[in-house]
Amino acid sequence: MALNVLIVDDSAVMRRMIARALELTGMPVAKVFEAGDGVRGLAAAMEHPIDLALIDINMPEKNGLDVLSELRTHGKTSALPVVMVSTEGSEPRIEMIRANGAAFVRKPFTPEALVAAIVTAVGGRDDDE
Amino acid sequence: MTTSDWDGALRAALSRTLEQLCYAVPEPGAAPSLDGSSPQAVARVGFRGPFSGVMVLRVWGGAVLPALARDMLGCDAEPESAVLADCLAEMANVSCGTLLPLAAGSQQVFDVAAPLVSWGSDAEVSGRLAGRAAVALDNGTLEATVHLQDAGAP
Repeated sequence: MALNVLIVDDSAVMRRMIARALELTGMPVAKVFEAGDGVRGLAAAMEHPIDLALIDINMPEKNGLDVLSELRTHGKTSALPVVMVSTEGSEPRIEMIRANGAAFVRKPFTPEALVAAIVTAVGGRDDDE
Repeated sequence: MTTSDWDGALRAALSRTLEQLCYAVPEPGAAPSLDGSSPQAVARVGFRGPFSGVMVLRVWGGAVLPALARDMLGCDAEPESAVLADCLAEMANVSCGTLLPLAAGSQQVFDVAAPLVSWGSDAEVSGRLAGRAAVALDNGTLEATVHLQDAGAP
């Protein structure tokens, strides 16, 4: 089944790079939604039928960690597979992300690393259901 | 960390970023700022944590940033200036994110600010110059420096 994917990153270039990496993976994607900050990202996750969210951490308005926490508190998005895509290099913070039910991939990433993180995120959802 | 340690960590972070984000093959280069010349573009990224400071990424050579941007985006079209700024900001962001664990270890937590990009003039940066690294590409040179506030600096 093709997935609706939400990409949340304040860099338009990085959104394009992530979308391109998704294409290169050959993963079936139905539609890509984009948001340039955390507030718009949360709104898009509530408004559209999203199957997978790829979220940056350092963003204006609302950072990705806050977005992840809020997604987990809403019924519609509490089990949404999420991959945090960030330059973050701190293991304690990455552990916090994982404890909140999200996968993590560090920028810069290869398409293979992105796929591995997506499989982890989607697999986590399947385990929960 | 010694200046040499910082230089090495900066060079590794910058090279890794260019190789993996821009698919470029950088070579060690001479630092143009030591000659007093002004860069075409500058991005600076502030960070706070066990130690705080700024990483600055400077670009020399008018063709280098468009070439890197085309490689990042996988397109042949000439990128607009806003896209060039976004690409440079992301290069600086990724370089800084790669540098900090190399310098401080992966158990330390830093908050990294959004990159600021400027054109045609160098950045005024406070703090002690801790390290410098430059890499040469086909069309120009990129140079990174890191400047630390002394409290907590390694």
